[in-house]
Amino acid sequence: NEAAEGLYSMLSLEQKRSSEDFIFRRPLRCLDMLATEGQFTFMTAQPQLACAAFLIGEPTEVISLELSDVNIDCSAGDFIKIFDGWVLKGEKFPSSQDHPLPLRQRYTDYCSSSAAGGAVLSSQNVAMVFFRIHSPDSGFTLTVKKQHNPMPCNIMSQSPEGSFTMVMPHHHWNCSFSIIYPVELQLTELSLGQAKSNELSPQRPMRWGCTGSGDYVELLGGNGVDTSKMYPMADLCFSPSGLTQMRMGCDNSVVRLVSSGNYVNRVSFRYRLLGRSEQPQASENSLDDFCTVG
Amino acid sequence: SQGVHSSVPASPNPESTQPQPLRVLTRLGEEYSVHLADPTDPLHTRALRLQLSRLLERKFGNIRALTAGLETRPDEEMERARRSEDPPISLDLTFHLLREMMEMSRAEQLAVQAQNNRRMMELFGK
Repeated sequence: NEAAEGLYSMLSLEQKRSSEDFIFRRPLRCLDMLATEGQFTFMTAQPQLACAAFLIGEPTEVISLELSDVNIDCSAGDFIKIFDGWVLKGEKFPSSQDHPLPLRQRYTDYCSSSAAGGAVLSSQNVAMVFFRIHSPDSGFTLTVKKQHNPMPCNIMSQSPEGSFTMVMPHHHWNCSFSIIYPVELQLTELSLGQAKSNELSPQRPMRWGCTGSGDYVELLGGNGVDTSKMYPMADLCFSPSGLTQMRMGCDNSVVRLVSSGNYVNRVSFRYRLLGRSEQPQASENSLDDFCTVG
Repeated sequence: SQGVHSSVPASPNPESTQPQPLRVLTRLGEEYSVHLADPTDPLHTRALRLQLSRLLERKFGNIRALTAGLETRPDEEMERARRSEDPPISLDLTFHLLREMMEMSRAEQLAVQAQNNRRMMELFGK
Protein backbone atom coordinates (compact mmCIF):
# COMPACT_ATOMS: atom_id res chain seq x y z
CA ASN A 1 0.00 0.00 0.00
CA GLU A 2 1.11 3.57 -0.56
CA ALA A 3 1.59 4.35 3.14
CA ALA A 4 3.88 1.36 3.58
CA GLU A 5 5.88 2.30 0.49
CA GLY A 6 6.35 5.82 1.83
CA LEU A 7 7.62 4.50 5.13
CA TYR A 8 9.91 2.04 3.34
CA SER A 9 11.68 4.85 1.54
CA MET A 10 12.68 6.35 4.88
CA LEU A 11 14.50 3.22 6.05
CA SER A 12 18.28 2.92 6.17
CA LEU A 13 20.02 0.34 4.02
CA GLU A 14 20.37 -1.99 6.97
CA GLN A 15 16.74 -1.64 7.80
CA LYS A 16 15.79 -2.32 4.20
CA ARG A 17 17.80 -5.53 4.25
CA SER A 18 15.91 -6.59 7.33
CA SER A 19 12.67 -5.87 5.54
CA GLU A 20 13.39 -8.72 3.10
CA ASP A 21 11.62 -10.83 5.71
CA PHE A 22 8.49 -8.99 4.67
CA ILE A 23 8.20 -11.29 1.66
CA PHE A 24 5.35 -13.62 2.45
CA ARG A 25 6.11 -17.26 1.75
CA ARG A 26 4.02 -20.38 2.04
CA PRO A 27 3.45 -23.63 0.15
CA LEU A 28 1.20 -23.54 -2.88
CA ARG A 29 -1.72 -25.96 -2.77
CA CYS A 30 -3.00 -27.96 -5.73
CA LEU A 31 -6.21 -25.93 -5.54
CA ASP A 32 -5.49 -22.49 -4.21
CA MET A 33 -6.47 -18.86 -4.27
CA LEU A 34 -3.88 -16.13 -3.71
CA ALA A 35 -4.79 -12.57 -2.86
CA THR A 36 -1.47 -11.45 -1.45
CA GLU A 37 1.98 -10.81 -2.82
CA GLY A 38 4.62 -13.34 -1.99
CA GLN A 39 6.39 -16.51 -2.99
CA PHE A 40 4.46 -19.72 -3.19
CA THR A 41 6.24 -23.02 -3.71
CA PHE A 42 4.57 -26.15 -4.98
CA MET A 43 6.17 -29.47 -4.14
CA THR A 44 4.44 -32.79 -4.31
CA ALA A 45 5.26 -36.29 -3.19
CA GLN A 46 2.75 -37.82 -5.59
CA PRO A 47 1.43 -36.99 -9.07
CA GLN A 48 -0.88 -34.01 -9.21
CA LEU A 49 -2.59 -33.97 -12.58
CA ALA A 50 -5.19 -31.24 -12.31
CA CYS A 51 -4.16 -28.25 -10.27
CA ALA A 52 -5.03 -24.59 -10.47
CA ALA A 53 -4.29 -21.47 -8.52
CA PHE A 54 -6.63 -18.49 -8.76
CA LEU A 55 -5.07 -15.08 -8.26
CA ILE A 56 -6.98 -11.93 -7.40
CA GLY A 57 -6.09 -8.38 -6.51
CA GLU A 58 -7.78 -5.13 -5.72
CA PRO A 59 -9.84 -3.64 -8.56
CA THR A 60 -7.08 -1.12 -9.32
CA GLU A 61 -4.31 -3.71 -9.45
CA VAL A 62 -2.86 -6.03 -12.04
CA ILE A 63 -0.91 -9.14 -11.18
CA SER A 64 2.70 -9.95 -12.03
CA LEU A 65 3.63 -13.64 -12.04
CA GLU A 66 7.10 -15.12 -12.30
CA LEU A 67 8.18 -18.75 -12.18
CA SER A 68 11.45 -19.85 -10.65
CA ASP A 69 13.13 -23.02 -9.40
CA VAL A 70 11.04 -24.92 -11.89
CA ASN A 71 11.65 -28.64 -11.75
CA ILE A 72 9.15 -30.34 -14.07
CA ASP A 73 9.37 -32.74 -17.00
CA CYS A 74 7.63 -31.18 -19.97
CA SER A 75 8.35 -34.22 -22.15
CA ALA A 76 6.45 -36.38 -19.67
CA GLY A 77 3.36 -34.20 -19.91
CA ASP A 78 4.02 -31.85 -17.03
CA PHE A 79 2.97 -28.29 -17.65
CA ILE A 80 2.56 -24.90 -16.05
CA LYS A 81 0.26 -22.51 -17.89
CA ILE A 82 -0.55 -18.98 -16.86
CA PHE A 83 -3.90 -17.61 -18.02
CA ASP A 84 -4.74 -13.92 -18.30
CA GLY A 85 -8.08 -14.04 -16.53
CA TRP A 86 -10.12 -16.77 -14.88
CA VAL A 87 -11.53 -19.90 -16.42
CA LEU A 88 -14.35 -21.68 -14.70
CA LYS A 89 -16.42 -24.51 -16.11
CA GLY A 90 -15.29 -23.74 -19.62
CA GLU A 91 -16.16 -20.05 -19.34
CA LYS A 92 -13.61 -17.29 -19.21
CA PHE A 93 -13.50 -13.90 -17.55
CA PRO A 94 -13.05 -11.43 -19.10
CA SER A 95 -14.98 -12.68 -22.10
CA SER A 96 -13.41 -12.75 -25.53
CA GLN A 97 -15.50 -9.69 -26.38
CA ASP A 98 -14.04 -7.64 -23.55
CA HIS A 99 -10.44 -8.81 -23.41
CA PRO A 100 -7.79 -7.02 -25.47
CA LEU A 101 -5.99 -10.24 -26.44
CA PRO A 102 -7.18 -13.24 -28.47
CA LEU A 103 -7.62 -16.41 -26.45
CA ARG A 104 -4.41 -18.05 -27.57
CA GLN A 105 -2.32 -15.09 -26.41
CA ARG A 106 -3.90 -15.19 -22.99
CA TYR A 107 -2.07 -18.43 -22.21
CA THR A 108 1.63 -18.48 -21.36
CA ASP A 109 2.98 -22.01 -21.42
CA TYR A 110 6.19 -22.62 -19.51
CA CYS A 111 6.94 -25.67 -21.64
CA SER A 112 6.49 -23.83 -24.90
CA SER A 113 9.70 -23.06 -26.70
CA SER A 114 8.29 -19.72 -27.75
CA ALA A 115 7.50 -18.63 -24.22
CA ALA A 116 9.80 -15.86 -23.03
CA GLY A 117 11.20 -15.91 -19.54
CA GLY A 118 10.50 -13.27 -16.97
CA ALA A 119 7.33 -11.98 -15.42
CA VAL A 120 3.89 -12.22 -16.98
CA LEU A 121 1.57 -9.30 -16.30
CA SER A 122 -2.19 -9.72 -16.25
CA SER A 123 -4.54 -7.31 -18.00
CA GLN A 124 -6.93 -7.08 -15.05
CA ASN A 125 -7.10 -7.93 -11.36
CA VAL A 126 -7.40 -11.69 -11.87
CA ALA A 127 -5.19 -14.42 -13.30
CA MET A 128 -4.81 -18.18 -13.06
CA VAL A 129 -2.08 -20.76 -13.09
CA PHE A 130 -2.84 -24.30 -14.26
CA PHE A 131 -0.29 -26.98 -13.57
CA ARG A 132 0.21 -30.71 -13.80
CA ILE A 133 3.11 -32.62 -12.36
CA HIS A 134 3.65 -36.35 -12.69
CA SER A 135 6.89 -36.97 -10.85
CA PRO A 136 7.30 -36.86 -7.10
CA ASP A 137 9.58 -34.20 -5.69
CA SER A 138 9.01 -31.97 -8.71
CA GLY A 139 7.75 -28.48 -8.30
CA PHE A 140 8.21 -24.78 -8.82
CA THR A 141 8.02 -21.41 -7.10
CA LEU A 142 5.54 -18.75 -8.10
CA THR A 143 6.34 -15.13 -7.22
CA VAL A 144 3.31 -12.87 -7.09
CA LYS A 145 3.51 -9.10 -7.18
CA LYS A 146 0.89 -6.46 -7.69
CA GLN A 147 1.09 -3.33 -9.78
CA HIS A 148 -1.17 -0.33 -9.88
CA ASN A 149 -3.57 -0.15 -12.82
CA PRO A 150 -4.44 3.47 -13.61
CA MET A 151 -7.30 2.49 -15.90
CA PRO A 152 -9.01 -0.59 -14.52
CA CYS A 153 -11.32 -2.37 -16.92
CA ASN A 154 -12.78 -5.82 -16.27
CA ILE A 155 -12.76 -6.39 -12.57
CA MET A 156 -13.69 -9.31 -10.39
CA SER A 157 -14.83 -8.20 -6.97
CA GLN A 158 -13.22 -9.94 -4.00
CA SER A 159 -16.17 -9.31 -1.76
CA PRO A 160 -19.99 -9.22 -1.97
CA GLU A 161 -20.11 -5.64 -0.70
CA GLY A 162 -18.43 -2.47 -1.83
CA SER A 163 -18.52 0.37 -4.26
CA PHE A 164 -16.70 1.34 -7.40
CA THR A 165 -16.52 3.91 -10.18
CA MET A 166 -15.73 2.87 -13.73
CA VAL A 167 -14.42 5.58 -16.01
CA MET A 168 -13.80 5.12 -19.70
CA PRO A 169 -12.21 8.20 -21.30
CA HIS A 170 -12.43 8.16 -25.08
CA HIS A 171 -11.63 4.49 -25.48
CA HIS A 172 -13.64 1.95 -27.42
CA TRP A 173 -13.42 -0.57 -24.59
CA ASN A 174 -16.20 -2.51 -22.96
CA CYS A 175 -15.58 -3.08 -19.28
CA SER A 176 -17.27 -5.42 -16.84
CA PHE A 177 -17.37 -5.38 -13.05
CA SER A 178 -18.25 -8.86 -11.87
CA ILE A 179 -19.58 -9.80 -8.44
CA ILE A 180 -19.97 -13.54 -7.96
CA TYR A 181 -22.82 -13.13 -5.49
CA PRO A 182 -26.49 -12.21 -5.62
CA VAL A 183 -26.53 -8.53 -4.77
CA GLU A 184 -28.59 -5.41 -4.48
CA LEU A 185 -27.04 -2.91 -6.80
CA GLN A 186 -27.43 0.87 -6.63
CA LEU A 187 -26.21 3.11 -9.42
CA THR A 188 -25.25 6.35 -7.72
CA GLU A 189 -23.86 8.21 -10.70
CA LEU A 190 -24.14 7.73 -14.42
CA SER A 191 -22.57 9.98 -16.99
CA LEU A 192 -22.76 8.80 -20.57
CA GLY A 193 -21.98 10.35 -23.86
CA GLN A 194 -20.32 13.45 -22.49
CA ALA A 195 -18.84 15.04 -25.58
CA LYS A 196 -15.30 16.30 -25.85
CA SER A 197 -14.79 19.93 -24.97
CA ASN A 198 -16.17 22.54 -27.32
CA GLU A 199 -18.71 20.07 -28.65
CA LEU A 200 -22.38 20.05 -27.94
CA SER A 201 -23.78 17.18 -25.97
CA PRO A 202 -25.34 14.67 -28.36
CA GLN A 203 -29.07 14.61 -28.64
CA ARG A 204 -30.47 11.27 -27.58
CA PRO A 205 -33.52 10.17 -29.48
CA MET A 206 -36.01 8.18 -27.50
CA ARG A 207 -35.53 4.50 -28.09
CA TRP A 208 -36.92 1.32 -26.68
CA GLY A 209 -33.88 -0.03 -24.86
CA CYS A 210 -30.37 0.98 -25.69
CA THR A 211 -30.05 -0.83 -28.97
CA GLY A 212 -28.03 1.31 -31.30
CA SER A 213 -26.56 3.47 -28.57
CA GLY A 214 -22.83 3.37 -28.59
CA ASP A 215 -22.52 4.25 -24.92
CA TYR A 216 -24.58 2.58 -22.23
CA VAL A 217 -24.49 0.54 -19.05
CA GLU A 218 -25.97 -2.91 -18.90
CA LEU A 219 -26.67 -5.03 -15.86
CA LEU A 220 -26.10 -8.71 -16.47
CA GLY A 221 -27.00 -11.75 -14.45
CA GLY A 222 -26.06 -15.36 -14.82
CA ASN A 223 -24.56 -18.45 -13.30
CA GLY A 224 -21.21 -18.43 -15.07
CA VAL A 225 -18.27 -16.05 -15.35
CA ASP A 226 -18.48 -15.31 -19.09
CA THR A 227 -20.31 -12.00 -19.45
CA SER A 228 -21.12 -12.71 -23.10
CA LYS A 229 -23.25 -15.66 -21.96
CA MET A 230 -25.13 -13.81 -19.26
CA TYR A 231 -28.65 -12.42 -19.35
CA PRO A 232 -29.17 -8.68 -19.73
CA MET A 233 -31.34 -7.60 -16.82
CA ALA A 234 -31.40 -3.91 -17.62
CA ASP A 235 -29.63 -1.35 -19.71
CA LEU A 236 -29.25 2.36 -19.24
CA CYS A 237 -28.38 4.84 -21.95
CA PHE A 238 -29.74 7.89 -20.21
CA SER A 239 -28.57 9.35 -16.95
CA PRO A 240 -31.38 8.58 -14.51
CA SER A 241 -32.86 11.43 -12.50
CA GLY A 242 -33.18 9.35 -9.35
CA LEU A 243 -31.42 6.48 -7.71
CA THR A 244 -31.38 3.31 -9.79
CA GLN A 245 -31.60 0.19 -7.70
CA MET A 246 -31.95 -3.42 -8.61
CA ARG A 247 -31.86 -6.73 -6.78
CA MET A 248 -30.16 -9.40 -8.82
CA GLY A 249 -30.69 -12.94 -7.63
CA CYS A 250 -27.98 -14.56 -9.73
CA ASP A 251 -24.75 -16.26 -8.79
CA ASN A 252 -22.94 -13.63 -10.80
CA SER A 253 -23.99 -9.97 -11.06
CA VAL A 254 -22.23 -7.75 -13.57
CA VAL A 255 -22.15 -4.04 -14.33
CA ARG A 256 -20.91 -3.60 -17.89
CA LEU A 257 -19.98 -0.25 -19.38
CA VAL A 258 -20.10 -0.13 -23.17
CA SER A 259 -18.23 2.76 -24.73
CA SER A 260 -17.98 3.96 -28.32
CA GLY A 261 -14.73 5.81 -27.69
CA ASN A 262 -16.26 9.15 -28.61
CA TYR A 263 -17.01 10.29 -25.11
CA VAL A 264 -15.98 10.08 -21.48
CA ASN A 265 -18.26 7.65 -19.70
CA ARG A 266 -18.53 7.20 -15.98
CA VAL A 267 -20.64 4.98 -13.76
CA SER A 268 -20.56 4.75 -9.98
CA PHE A 269 -22.33 2.07 -8.03
CA ARG A 270 -22.44 0.29 -4.73
CA TYR A 271 -23.56 -3.21 -3.92
CA ARG A 272 -24.36 -5.43 -0.98
CA LEU A 273 -25.04 -9.10 -0.53
CA LEU A 274 -28.64 -10.19 -0.86
CA GLY A 275 -29.89 -12.36 1.93
CA ARG A 276 -31.76 -15.49 0.95
CA SER A 277 -35.06 -14.02 2.06
CA GLU A 278 -34.41 -10.91 0.00
CA GLN A 279 -33.79 -12.65 -3.27
CA PRO A 280 -36.57 -12.16 -5.81
CA GLN A 281 -38.74 -15.20 -6.32
CA ALA A 282 -39.15 -16.62 -9.79
CA SER A 283 -42.64 -16.86 -11.18
CA GLU A 284 -44.10 -20.31 -10.64
CA ASN A 285 -45.21 -20.42 -14.23
CA SER A 286 -41.92 -19.22 -15.66
CA LEU A 287 -40.55 -21.43 -18.37
CA ASP A 288 -37.19 -19.75 -18.35
CA ASP A 289 -34.39 -21.30 -16.41
CA PHE A 290 -32.56 -18.11 -15.42
CA CYS A 291 -31.85 -16.31 -12.22
CA THR A 292 -34.29 -13.78 -10.97
CA VAL A 293 -34.26 -10.02 -10.79
CA GLY A 294 -36.40 -7.60 -8.90
CA SER B 1 -14.39 -31.23 -24.03
CA GLN B 2 -13.82 -34.27 -21.92
CA GLY B 3 -17.40 -34.82 -20.84
CA VAL B 4 -20.32 -33.04 -19.35
CA HIS B 5 -20.54 -32.43 -15.66
CA SER B 6 -23.78 -32.84 -13.84
CA SER B 7 -25.89 -29.82 -13.09
CA VAL B 8 -24.98 -27.83 -10.03
CA PRO B 9 -27.42 -28.45 -7.19
CA ALA B 10 -29.38 -25.59 -5.73
CA SER B 11 -27.83 -23.77 -2.82
CA PRO B 12 -28.57 -25.55 0.42
CA ASN B 13 -31.24 -24.20 2.73
CA PRO B 14 -29.37 -22.61 5.65
CA GLU B 15 -32.27 -23.40 7.94
CA SER B 16 -31.99 -27.10 7.25
CA THR B 17 -30.67 -29.17 10.10
CA GLN B 18 -29.26 -31.78 7.78
CA PRO B 19 -25.57 -31.56 6.95
CA GLN B 20 -25.20 -29.92 3.58
CA PRO B 21 -22.75 -31.35 1.09
CA LEU B 22 -20.24 -29.12 -0.59
CA ARG B 23 -19.79 -30.32 -4.13
CA VAL B 24 -16.71 -30.10 -6.27
CA LEU B 25 -17.45 -31.00 -9.85
CA THR B 26 -14.85 -31.98 -12.38
CA ARG B 27 -15.24 -31.61 -16.06
CA LEU B 28 -15.26 -35.37 -16.41
CA GLY B 29 -18.56 -35.56 -14.64
CA GLU B 30 -17.19 -36.99 -11.43
CA GLU B 31 -18.51 -35.37 -8.33
CA TYR B 32 -16.89 -35.11 -4.96
CA SER B 33 -18.81 -34.24 -1.85
CA VAL B 34 -17.53 -32.91 1.40
CA HIS B 35 -19.94 -33.42 4.23
CA LEU B 36 -19.74 -31.14 7.21
CA ALA B 37 -21.33 -32.06 10.50
CA ASP B 38 -22.47 -28.57 11.42
CA PRO B 39 -22.05 -25.74 8.93
CA THR B 40 -22.78 -23.15 11.65
CA ASP B 41 -19.85 -24.27 13.77
CA PRO B 42 -17.20 -21.55 14.17
CA LEU B 43 -14.57 -24.09 13.10
CA HIS B 44 -16.54 -24.67 9.91
CA THR B 45 -14.20 -22.67 7.73
CA ARG B 46 -11.04 -24.25 9.03
CA ALA B 47 -12.52 -27.74 8.83
CA LEU B 48 -13.66 -27.03 5.31
CA ARG B 49 -10.23 -25.83 4.30
CA LEU B 50 -8.45 -28.84 5.76
CA GLN B 51 -10.93 -31.35 4.42
CA LEU B 52 -10.96 -29.80 1.01
CA SER B 53 -7.19 -29.74 0.78
CA ARG B 54 -6.92 -33.38 1.77
CA LEU B 55 -9.74 -34.41 -0.51
CA LEU B 56 -8.37 -32.67 -3.56
CA GLU B 57 -4.79 -33.75 -2.98
CA ARG B 58 -5.94 -37.31 -2.54
CA LYS B 59 -8.43 -37.49 -5.36
CA PHE B 60 -7.06 -35.35 -8.13
CA GLY B 61 -4.11 -37.60 -8.65
CA ASN B 62 -6.38 -40.56 -9.33
CA ILE B 63 -8.57 -39.23 -12.08
CA ARG B 64 -7.89 -38.68 -15.74
CA ALA B 65 -6.43 -35.34 -16.52
CA LEU B 66 -8.81 -32.55 -17.39
CA THR B 67 -6.72 -31.95 -20.46
CA ALA B 68 -5.77 -35.42 -21.62
CA GLY B 69 -5.65 -34.16 -25.19
CA LEU B 70 -2.88 -31.76 -24.36
CA GLU B 71 -0.49 -34.56 -23.46
CA THR B 72 0.12 -35.76 -27.00
CA ARG B 73 -1.03 -32.97 -29.31
CA PRO B 74 -0.92 -29.70 -27.45
CA ASP B 75 -0.70 -27.59 -30.58
CA GLU B 76 -3.68 -29.30 -32.14
CA GLU B 77 -5.70 -28.84 -28.98
CA MET B 78 -4.80 -25.17 -28.87
CA GLU B 79 -5.68 -24.82 -32.55
CA ARG B 80 -9.09 -26.36 -31.97
CA ALA B 81 -9.61 -24.09 -29.01
CA ARG B 82 -8.53 -21.10 -31.02
CA ARG B 83 -11.10 -21.89 -33.66
CA SER B 84 -13.84 -22.61 -31.15
CA GLU B 85 -12.89 -19.90 -28.62
CA ASP B 86 -13.42 -22.45 -25.89
CA PRO B 87 -10.61 -22.39 -23.37
CA PRO B 88 -8.47 -25.53 -23.85
CA ILE B 89 -8.01 -25.94 -20.14
CA SER B 90 -10.54 -25.34 -17.44
CA LEU B 91 -11.45 -26.23 -13.90
CA ASP B 92 -14.89 -26.97 -12.60
CA LEU B 93 -15.81 -25.45 -9.30
CA THR B 94 -19.11 -24.44 -7.87
CA PHE B 95 -19.58 -20.78 -7.08
CA HIS B 96 -20.05 -21.77 -3.47
CA LEU B 97 -16.55 -23.24 -3.33
CA LEU B 98 -15.09 -20.34 -5.25
CA ARG B 99 -16.60 -17.92 -2.75
CA GLU B 100 -15.21 -19.91 0.16
CA MET B 101 -11.77 -19.73 -1.40
CA MET B 102 -12.11 -16.00 -1.99
CA GLU B 103 -13.06 -15.42 1.62
CA MET B 104 -10.13 -17.48 2.86
CA SER B 105 -7.71 -15.66 0.57
CA ARG B 106 -9.10 -12.34 1.75
CA ALA B 107 -8.58 -13.36 5.38
CA GLU B 108 -5.03 -14.41 4.57
CA GLN B 109 -4.38 -11.08 2.84
CA LEU B 110 -5.57 -9.12 5.86
CA ALA B 111 -3.45 -11.25 8.21
CA VAL B 112 -0.34 -10.76 6.09
CA GLN B 113 -0.97 -7.03 5.90
CA ALA B 114 -1.34 -6.80 9.67
CA GLN B 115 1.87 -8.77 10.15
CA ASN B 116 3.75 -6.51 7.75
CA ASN B 117 2.47 -3.43 9.54
CA ARG B 118 3.70 -4.81 12.86
CA ARG B 119 7.12 -5.61 11.43
CA MET B 120 7.36 -2.17 9.89
CA MET B 121 6.65 -0.54 13.23
CA GLU B 122 9.23 -2.78 14.90
CA LEU B 123 11.76 -1.82 12.27
CA PHE B 124 11.15 1.84 12.84
CA GLY B 125 11.45 1.29 16.56
CA LYS B 126 15.05 0.02 16.24
